[in-house]
Amino acid sequence: MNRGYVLRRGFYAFITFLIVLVLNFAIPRVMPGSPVQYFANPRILPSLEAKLLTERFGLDKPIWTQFLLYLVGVFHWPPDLGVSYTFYPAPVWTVIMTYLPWTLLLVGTATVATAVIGIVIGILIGSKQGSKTDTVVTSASLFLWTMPFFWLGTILLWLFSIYFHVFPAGGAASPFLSKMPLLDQIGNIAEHAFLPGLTLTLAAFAGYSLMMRNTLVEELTQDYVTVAVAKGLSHRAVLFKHAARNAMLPMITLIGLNLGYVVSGALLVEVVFSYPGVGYLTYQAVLAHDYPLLQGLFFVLSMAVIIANFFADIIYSLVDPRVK
Amino acid sequence: MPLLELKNLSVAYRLQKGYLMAVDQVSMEVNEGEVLGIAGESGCGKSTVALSVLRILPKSARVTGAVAFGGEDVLTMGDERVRAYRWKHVALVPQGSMNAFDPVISVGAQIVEAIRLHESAGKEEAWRRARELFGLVGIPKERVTNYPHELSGGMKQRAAIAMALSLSPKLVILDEPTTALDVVVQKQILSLLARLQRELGVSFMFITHDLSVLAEVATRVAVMYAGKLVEVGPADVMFRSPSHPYTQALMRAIPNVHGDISQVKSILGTPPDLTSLPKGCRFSPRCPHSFGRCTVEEPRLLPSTTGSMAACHLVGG
Amino acid sequence: MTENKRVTSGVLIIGIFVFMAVFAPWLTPYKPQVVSGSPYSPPSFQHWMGTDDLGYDVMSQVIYGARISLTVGFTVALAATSIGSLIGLLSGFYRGVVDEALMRFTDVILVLPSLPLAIILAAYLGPSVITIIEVLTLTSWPLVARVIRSQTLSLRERPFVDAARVAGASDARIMFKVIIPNLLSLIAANAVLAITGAVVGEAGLDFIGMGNPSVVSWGTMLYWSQNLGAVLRGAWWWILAPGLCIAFVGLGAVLISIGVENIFNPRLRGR
Ligand SMILES: Nc1ncnc2c1ncn2[C@@H]1O[C@H](COP(=O)(O)OP(=O)(O)OP(=O)(O)O)[C@@H](O)[C@H]1O
Ligand SMILES: [Mg+2]
Repeated sequence: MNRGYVLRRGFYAFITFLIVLVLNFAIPRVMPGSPVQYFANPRILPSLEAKLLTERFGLDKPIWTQFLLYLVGVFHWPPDLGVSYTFYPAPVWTVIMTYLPWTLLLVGTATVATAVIGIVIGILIGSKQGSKTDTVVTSASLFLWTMPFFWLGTILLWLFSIYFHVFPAGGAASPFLSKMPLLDQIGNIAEHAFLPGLTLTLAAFAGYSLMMRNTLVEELTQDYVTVAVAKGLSHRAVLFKHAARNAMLPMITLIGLNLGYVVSGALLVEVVFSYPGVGYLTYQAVLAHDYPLLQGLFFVLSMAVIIANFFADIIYSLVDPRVK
Repeated sequence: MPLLELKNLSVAYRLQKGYLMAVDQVSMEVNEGEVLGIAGESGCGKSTVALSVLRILPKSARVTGAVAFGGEDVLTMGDERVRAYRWKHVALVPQGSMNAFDPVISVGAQIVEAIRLHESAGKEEAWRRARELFGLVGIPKERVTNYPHELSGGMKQRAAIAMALSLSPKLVILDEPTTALDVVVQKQILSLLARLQRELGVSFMFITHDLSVLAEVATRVAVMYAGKLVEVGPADVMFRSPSHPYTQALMRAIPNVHGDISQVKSILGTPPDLTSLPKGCRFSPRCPHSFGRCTVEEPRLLPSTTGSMAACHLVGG
Repeated sequence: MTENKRVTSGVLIIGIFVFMAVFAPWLTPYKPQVVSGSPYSPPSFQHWMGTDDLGYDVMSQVIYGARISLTVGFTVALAATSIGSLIGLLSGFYRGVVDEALMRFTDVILVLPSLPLAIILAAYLGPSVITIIEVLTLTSWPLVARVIRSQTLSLRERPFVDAARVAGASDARIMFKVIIPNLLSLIAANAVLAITGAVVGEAGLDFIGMGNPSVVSWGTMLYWSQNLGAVLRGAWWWILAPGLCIAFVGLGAVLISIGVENIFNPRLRGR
């Protein structure tokens, strides 16, 4: 691993974090309306609580005081992001943390699945560039790729849960989960996560497979590939030991960059499947005009994506000897 | 029997419409222990010849004629056989060998890969040999574990040569091994190649733009023009008394302009488009001695009075 | 030649939808928001695509819905491409500190999950088509900026740029009269591609309730069908068409974009 590189990427991640921090603070304050109305609305919260919150975040104070108090809240552990209107009196942070694990499960599995499927298909069509298979598979994945996540989810839900009854129609687990043996618990969770995960995978893998295909086609024209063939390596060995291995490098960065997209998709898909992750939570927050919760969600999800991207950078520096 | 023999080798690349005849009916041979230099302007088909010998042309290429190595027909070898033949018998230092190495694998590991693919050497044995090869080509042995980007241009070139020699092949094809290097490094690589050739008795097929380079290393020289072999003969004959007007033009260009063939352009214009060749002799539009027959009939390769073989109506015909 | 075919089929697909949007009143058998049958009727001769919960004709809604989706798609694509191109151009042309600052910011917007950002913005601005256009523009310019920047970086090293500089052209002149003309095909390809993102994004925001639910669009159709449990009732006809329309518009735009890019950049051909 290259320390200078990791430090630099860490610095970038930090800058991104700062920008999110400022955005999260600024957005509600440049919008029409007052911060008090958004974060401590006395018509929604009990008046004592509203008063307390106004004081704690200095919502009626000058902007710099507000910013300072906001920072104090964010850098507190657990972070103090205010109180949710919908789940009063639960703090925003606590609410989000109870929902977040399901989303992480969904986005995590979907990310692994999309990457694996995308890379495999990319290799398949990239090594047969210009063939019938290439044309057909490329067009089909493009079409899947342009489908809205949530609509594809709705169709799968209708087909597999309503029409064929193969999968549960919603939720993340059965109500009796805790009474089941461990193996059944896992099975039950997997069963519930399958369709939402499949939806995300189907709608997102094409981005990877097309990228993988194009990079691979490019790599296959490189001199080192000619040499590998000249050395007597088989077609498979040239493809997997050399060309695909090189073509896979940009994928790591892409997977990191794509996380925001997958998270966005997951939010909508969760609504379709009534999956109790942060997407479902977002939906409820939108319906209830729960501004503190919405801000908190934006903040937490952005943090998650920034951290994941930083890890992608570190992994990249481990597999590519050229990073400086 | 020559080590390598090309007989009426033709290679055509399939284009979006029609074909491009990159190599047209070329016959030549490389004998054991000899350095055959191949010279010609850019695009005349030199690299295509090199790739045909290893049978590693792109899928779009159609090959006819024969390539025989040690009497065995390369073009009809089975899949297994041709893979065993590659590198073991004929190795390649590719054009632009700056990129001959996979960027994410250490140079040593790539040499080891070649050794272990063809021989039943253990890992340690193979690494030991890789280190020795590094010593042989004059790179500090501990650099074998370096990644390609950690080596300088000259070192990469030497490492590519080391990899080509890793299985002690009978023939090494060097495609413009000195082109991308500065003059000092060029000299070093040339003397390294001359030394290796002497010590190991290996044959070289040495492809270049630069005739002055061939003067130093080649025992025989072949000159190609627009996919055709126009003259081939012993090096001294070719340099002293070339027969073909094209070879003559090339030779005249040597002393004053470092022998870089690209300079010939300014003297004679540019080579023809391979998809629309002139009738008769391909060189005739640029030839100072062109006469009636040249624009009608394609000349055949015939012995000249000086001892080379030349394809020109003024020679032999 | 396949590139031309690609572009042609893309233009054809988009053309059909534009036609639908423009001539909606003449193409629809019913008004989109007038009861014309019994609720939840499956497809029939009277209602080719069935009816929704209120007995409105689904096909009429789909045809009228093209108006909002395309308006948002085209407007956002235009706005995002303009902003993105300008930022990419400045960044690539001036390099150095300008580049570093602009690209840092671009990357931030690029990696952030766009939907949560769009949702909070829309939550404050209130549900409307204008809000959706603004929000989607704000989240979709960075991709364009990245592409244009890297191309500008390589263009500014070309001889004709040097020539213009030697001739005494101002920075603005070089950027807009010399570099931009060379970027037009790339900008066009990206603009068309941005339509895909915008149409899908519009539907997503509508779907989660950030649009104006009383306006007929493909997104609000899906919003209502989701909220009223159309899936559970098996009213697939209410769901199928709007989604397919979104996907087809997206596909049409992608085809045009890839085709245009490949025509001007032969290295990618056969993609
Ligand atoms: N894969 C290919 N497809 C189509 N045409 C090709 C291909 N490779 C080479 N050619 C064409 O074949 C001709 C010969 O190419 P080749 O690379 O053998 O020339 P060369 O003598 O090695 O040139 P250089 O000195 O520039 O390396 C050229 O006109 C080239 O454009
Ligand atoms: Mg060549």
